[in-house]
Amino acid sequence: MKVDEALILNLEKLARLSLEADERVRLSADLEEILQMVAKLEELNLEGVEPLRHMSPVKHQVRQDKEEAHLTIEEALQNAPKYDKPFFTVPKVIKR
Amino acid sequence: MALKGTTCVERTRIALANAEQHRDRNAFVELFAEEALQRAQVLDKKKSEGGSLGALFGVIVSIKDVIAYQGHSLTACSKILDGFRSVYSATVVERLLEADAIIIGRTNCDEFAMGSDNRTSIYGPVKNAIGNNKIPGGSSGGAAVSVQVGACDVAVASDTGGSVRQPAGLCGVVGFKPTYGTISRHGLIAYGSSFDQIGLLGYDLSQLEMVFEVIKGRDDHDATLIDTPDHTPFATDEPPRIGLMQNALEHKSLDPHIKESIQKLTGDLQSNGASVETFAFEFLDYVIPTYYVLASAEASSNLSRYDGVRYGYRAEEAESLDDMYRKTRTVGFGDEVKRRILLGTFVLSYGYYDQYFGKAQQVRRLIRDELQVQLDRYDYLILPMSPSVAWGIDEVKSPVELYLADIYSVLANLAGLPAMSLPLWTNKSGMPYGLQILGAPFQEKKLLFHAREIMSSHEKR
Repeated sequence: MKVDEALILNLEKLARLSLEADERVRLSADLEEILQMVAKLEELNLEGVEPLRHMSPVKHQVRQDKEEAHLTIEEALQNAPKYDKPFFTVPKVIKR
Repeated sequence: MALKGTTCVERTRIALANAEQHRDRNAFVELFAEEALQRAQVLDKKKSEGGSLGALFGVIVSIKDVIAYQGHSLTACSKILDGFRSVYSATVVERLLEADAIIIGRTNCDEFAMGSDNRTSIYGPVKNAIGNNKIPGGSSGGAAVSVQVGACDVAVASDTGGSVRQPAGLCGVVGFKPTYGTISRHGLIAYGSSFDQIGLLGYDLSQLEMVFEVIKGRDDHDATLIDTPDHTPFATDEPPRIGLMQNALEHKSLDPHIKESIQKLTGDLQSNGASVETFAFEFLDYVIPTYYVLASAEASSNLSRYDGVRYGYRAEEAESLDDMYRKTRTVGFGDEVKRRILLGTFVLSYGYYDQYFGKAQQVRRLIRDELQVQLDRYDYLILPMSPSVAWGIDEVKSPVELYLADIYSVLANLAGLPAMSLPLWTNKSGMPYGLQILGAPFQEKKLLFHAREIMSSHEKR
């Protein structure tokens, strides 16, 4: 599997990353090497094998649907890089 | 070294002094010195007044920097969580404190627990306390060294692909990863959610078992937990039936000294009456590809929450919201984390999902079922912990080389099994290496019983 520029740029877009040019070259090469290693899975005949999607032997145990104490607004904003109580603030989304 | 001392205050002082004395190893990213001493005083007072004492009274514990402790910093050793303070405590932390344990500090680890040698931390690498400039293993390298230098009795860490057991093996301490779904992950920073499990490092098996008893069990905040039927102590006079994974011993990556040690040990166990049979595990060469596809996919999803909006680091001077996300994540994450996010994004992306992610999930079932067949036959399975002893801190390794070193450790996570690393040996240069044992799901008590048996028979020789 070749990791060309179009592929890595698409992955960056999907993953919300913007790599520097040298970083892009390095990580593309790493990714190519990793995918080469992963290609080993092609060798196996997997016809009829159900994918294993859940590790618990039992159905997930959900808690009762009742009101509980949650974070206060102050607590929720405590770690925010920028806020205008009671909101988180981000760069302008709607352009005039 | 095991921690000495009689009162809580005395033991805490010794632990702190040991941590300070070995500061150059970089095991801790923060020591809670004053707070730990105050707590020790309160505990000593409670004892002298005849108050009822918790099950972990005075046990000194370190926590890996991926476990939330209310009011304390938490960074996953990443720039992207710069300045973050936990607004609640992990369930394990709550249970440790309720049982009168003392939390001494936060330990260094690989960024977001992604790594096998503790070199990807934003705080710099951790050094093994044994040897000259050797890695401690990872990702819980700081946790392993905090035990090595006597800065705690037990280190609480996380094990997604071997992050507790591998450093334990390379540092000469015991590492213990329970069955997936045994200990609450509430308050543990998520990496690969179908793999992540809290695990413990220490020297004393009884102490590890005590801590395990306190922190395990149902929690309303983690839906994967089930009540373990296994509360009663396990003991038997029957000689164990042991399965030795022969092709793991024959693997080309394995140091021949490690192979010899395991062969000698199984010979000794046999002369003590155990039955040892060999078996071949046909999927051994598929475990690393399967693990890295699935764990990276889960990581790319879990780490999407780090966007600079609600917490942690945010890049300045962004032109738009999307630009802010992208700049924040590009500057905030290190190379290894980006590598896994990109790999995970790829295997989940349109056109590649079935070929990679779906396929790896199928192989995961084959791996788990095959191990279950062996565990129906044997009381436990034996295999190496790592292919080699700890390497040099400046040794250059490619990502794939590092991934391949996890060949023996990821099995337990792929199958959700309980597993331990037992510190049985050192090589000619004094570098430790461990034996790995794997047990049946939710049979921790049995595994601990056999671990004790192996360690005591080994010590007698």
